[in-house]
Amino acid sequence: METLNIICVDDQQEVLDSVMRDLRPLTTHVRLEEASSVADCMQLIEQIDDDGDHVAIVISDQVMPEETGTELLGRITADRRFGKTRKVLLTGQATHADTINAINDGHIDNYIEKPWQPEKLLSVVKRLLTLYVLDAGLDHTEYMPVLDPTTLFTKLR
Amino acid sequence: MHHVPEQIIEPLERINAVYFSDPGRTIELAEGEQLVDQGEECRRVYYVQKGSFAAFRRADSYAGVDLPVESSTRGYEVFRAEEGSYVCVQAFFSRSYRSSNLIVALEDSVVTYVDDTTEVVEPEKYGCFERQFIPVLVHELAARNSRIFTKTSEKEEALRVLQRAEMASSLAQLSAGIAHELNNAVGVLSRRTEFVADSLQEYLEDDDKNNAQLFTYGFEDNSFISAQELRSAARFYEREFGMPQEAAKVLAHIFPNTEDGRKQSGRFIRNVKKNYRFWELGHDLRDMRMASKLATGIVRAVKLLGGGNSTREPDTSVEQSVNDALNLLHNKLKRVTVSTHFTPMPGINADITELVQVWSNIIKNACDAMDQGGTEAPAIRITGECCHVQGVQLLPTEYVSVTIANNGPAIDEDNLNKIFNPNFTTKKMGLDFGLGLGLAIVRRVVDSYNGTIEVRSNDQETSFTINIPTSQIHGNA
Repeated sequence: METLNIICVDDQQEVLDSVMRDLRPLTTHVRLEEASSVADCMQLIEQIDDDGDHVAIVISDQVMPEETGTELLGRITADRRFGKTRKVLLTGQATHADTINAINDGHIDNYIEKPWQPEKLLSVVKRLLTLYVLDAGLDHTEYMPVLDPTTLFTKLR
Repeated sequence: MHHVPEQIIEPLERINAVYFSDPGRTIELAEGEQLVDQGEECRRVYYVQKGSFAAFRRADSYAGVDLPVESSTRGYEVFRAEEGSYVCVQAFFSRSYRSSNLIVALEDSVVTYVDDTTEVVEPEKYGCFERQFIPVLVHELAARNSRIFTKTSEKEEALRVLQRAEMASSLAQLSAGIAHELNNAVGVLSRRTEFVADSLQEYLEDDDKNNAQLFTYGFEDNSFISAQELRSAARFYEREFGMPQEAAKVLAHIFPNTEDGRKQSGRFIRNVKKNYRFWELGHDLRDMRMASKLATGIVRAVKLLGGGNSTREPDTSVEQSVNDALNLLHNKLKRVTVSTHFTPMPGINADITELVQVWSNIIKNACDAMDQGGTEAPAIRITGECCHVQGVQLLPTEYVSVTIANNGPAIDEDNLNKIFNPNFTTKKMGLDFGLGLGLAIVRRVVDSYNGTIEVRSNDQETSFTINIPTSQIHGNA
C-alpha cells in the first residue's frame, strides 16, 4: 500500500492539535503530518516527495506570519509534481480578496471556516481523499475504510 | 470677518465717509467696557472703527418673559463685531430702539454712530435716509447669514461628537455587561479544569504510576520546539521503537532530543506506545487551562477598557505600582535585564490596579517587541520622577513622570500613529496572540487621569513616557 499524507498547516499549535485529533480516524490508512509555517510545509513536502510518498491533501490556515495559506496553496498548484494534491483552506480570518485569490490562484477544493464541525471536516477530507486515490490511479479497495462511499460510487459508475 | 458682497463695498465707503466720520459722535471704549446693555434703549447705529466687540445674550428677559434670577447669570455669546462692522442695526431700523444684546468691547476700541437726529445728506441724489442705508442693511444680512452657517456647522459637529460619546458609552456599558457574564462562565471553566486535572491526577496516582507520569508530562508540557524538530524526533521514534505515529509524537514532545528518548527503559517506551493517550489527556487539560487563563485576561482587559468601577485612593504610590507590574510579569521578564531608577515622587490619587495595568501593558509590549525583533541583550529601563511645568495657565503644574524604555526594534512611523487604536496589533503567536487592546487601555486610563503619553522610537531605544498630574484640578477624576 502506498503512503498517503495529509498535511495540516497552521501557526497555532493548539489548532494543529485539534485538526489532527479530528482526523485521527483516518490514521489507520494515511499519515497525518503537521507544519507550522509555509516554509516548514514546503520542506515537509520535499521530504515526502523524496521518500516517494504521496501528498494527498494540504489543509492550510490563511493568516500566518510570513506567507499566507493562499500563497502556499498557489505554490503547490504551480508545482507539477503535486498536480493531483487536493487543497483546503481552513480559516476564520480570510478577507473577501483572500477568498478570491484562494479560488483563482490557490485552486482550492474546499473552504472551511473556523471554528469547524469535526464531522464536516472529516467528511470533506474523506471526499477529497477519495478523489485523490482515484486521480492517482491507486487501488481504492486498499483504502476503503477512509474513503467516501458516495463519491466513490459516483466516480466509478 | 464674513464676506462683504462686492456690489456694496463702494456705497459703504461713501456711507462711512459721510455719516460715520463725525469726531463729535465718536466714542472710545476700553477693553471690557460696555457699549450697550441688553434691553437698554438704543437709538444709534454704531460703526466699529477700531477694535472688536462681543455681543452676549442673557436669558433673563428672553421673549419678553422674566426668568428667575439664578438662570439669568449665564449669558452666551451671540456674535462678534470686528473692525468695519455695524452694531445695533436692527434696533434702529425696526424702530424698537432696544438693544437685544449686551455688547462689550473685547479690546480698546473706537466707534462712531448715527442716531435718529442725524441729517440726511444729498437726498436729491441718493434718496431718503433709509434708502441710503440699504448697503448697511445688506451688510448686516450678510453678516447674519455667515453667522448662521458657522453656527449650523458648529452644531452639527457638536452633535457628532455627542453621538460618538454616546456610542462609546453604550459600548462601554455593553462590554461591561458582556465582561461580567463571560467572567462567570470563564470562571467556571477555569476552576473546573483545575478540579478535573487534580482528580484525574489523584486517580491515576492510585491506579498506575506510569500513566500518572504520562499525564503529568502532558499537563505540564512546556517545551518550545519547532514543528520540524518535533517531526524529525517523532519519525525517529516511529522507526526506532515501531510506534504508531501518535505515540511517537508524544514521545517526541517528552524527549525532543532523541538521545534522551533512547536512554529510556523498555517498559517506559512500551507504556508510551500503549497509553500515549494519558499524555494527550494531560495536554488537553493544559491547553484548556491556558485558554481559560487567556480568556480571563481578555475579560479583565475589556472591563478596564469599558471603564469599569475604578476606586481611586489618595496617596497611591506610583513606585509601588511599577514594582507590582514587574512582579506580575516576572515570568516574561526572565530573559530581560530590568533596571529601575526612581527619584522621590509624591503619592497621587489613583487606583493602583489601573496604574499596574498601564505599566504592565507597556512592559508586555516591550517584551514582545524585543522577542519578535530578536533583540540580542533585551533590556528595559524604567525611570520615575516628579517634574514641574510652569507658565501654562489652567494646566496642572506638578506631574509624576514614568518612562519605560526598551532596546528593541523601532516602531516605524506608520505604526506610530496607529499603536493606540483598539485592534491594532503586530502580534500573532499561538494562543498568546495580541488583541490590540493593550495600548488602547493605556490611553484610556491615562486620559482618565488627565495625563499625557509621549512615545519616542529609534533604532537604539523605544520609550513610553507617562505624565500624570499629582492633583486633579478639574476633571474626570
